[in-house]
Amino acid sequence: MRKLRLITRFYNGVFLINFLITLSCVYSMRHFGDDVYKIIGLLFWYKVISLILVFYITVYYRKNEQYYYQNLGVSKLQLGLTTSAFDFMLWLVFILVQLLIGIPAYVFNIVLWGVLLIYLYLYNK
Amino acid sequence: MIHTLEADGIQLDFGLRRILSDVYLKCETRKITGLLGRNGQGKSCLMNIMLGTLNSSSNSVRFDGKVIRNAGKRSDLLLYLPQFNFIPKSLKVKQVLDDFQLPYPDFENRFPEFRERHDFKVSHLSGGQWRTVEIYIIAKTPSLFAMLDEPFTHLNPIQIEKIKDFLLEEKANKGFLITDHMYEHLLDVSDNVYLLKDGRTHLTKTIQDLDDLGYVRL
Repeated sequence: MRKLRLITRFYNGVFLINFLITLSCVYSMRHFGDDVYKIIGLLFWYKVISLILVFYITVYYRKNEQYYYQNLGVSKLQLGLTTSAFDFMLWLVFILVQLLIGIPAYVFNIVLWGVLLIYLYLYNK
Repeated sequence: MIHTLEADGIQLDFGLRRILSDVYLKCETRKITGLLGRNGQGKSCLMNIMLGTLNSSSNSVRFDGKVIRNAGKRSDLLLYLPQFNFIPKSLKVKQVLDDFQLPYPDFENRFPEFRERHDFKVSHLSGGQWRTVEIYIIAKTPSLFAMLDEPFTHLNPIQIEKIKDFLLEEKANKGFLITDHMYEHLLDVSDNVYLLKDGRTHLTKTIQDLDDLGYVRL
């Protein structure tokens, strides 16, 4: 349970950028309409590469904090794998929902602004 | 039961420059082992090699006589206080102690200046208080050994005396390897002191030994 709490805390720090990348994928799919299957492969690699880059940059700029997690028994590898796996699943859910039923524009906007406002609130708390 | 942590035969090179060539160091539970050395002699590198976060061309880190790799991945065995602040800035003091499963009242009793500061973010504490929180969690969290890299940095003289008393109490629960430039404080608390010079460790007993080895001038 404690490990989960620590991983969640680490994930909070990278969630926003990863989520915006996921939404940009959904937006691209909406834009391409019926030709969406042509860009699915590209979006997949876009997401995978961005996940790796975001993790690498986070670890680089917060390398001192890695000792905090290490002293608590959570390795860098565990942090990277669990948060990336969860975020990829989230991406997959959004992509499948968009593919199968399509996300209406107003839902897309509510999700985007809702997440931004919640993040802003939590940041200032 | 007394446990031992040994570093033996460690060699470290940065390009053509040999940093560590013939290192032997032994820590025991219920003892404080001091490590002295001038800047650039490889004290922090040695700690990182023992932790498993720095690779060396040759090394043998042994726990109770058995070779162990990546000791740092076992927080029940070895904890590490780096020479820089490592607690995430956004965390509150209470959150940090909760993470390490340490009761806040015990901390408050040991360091009364933290009374009613549980809701403070660590980044809003003074440098000395931030360092005190870090030393407390590393020393107090159950593990067999702890390595402290420059623990007295940022502390004022009163805080240093408090931390020395605290470490002398806590050595009943674990073994410490401490390195710091404030050698007099280190000598006060240490049971054994090694001096790292020219890539080698020298076991010293008195301040006269440090003078003979050229670390201090008396």
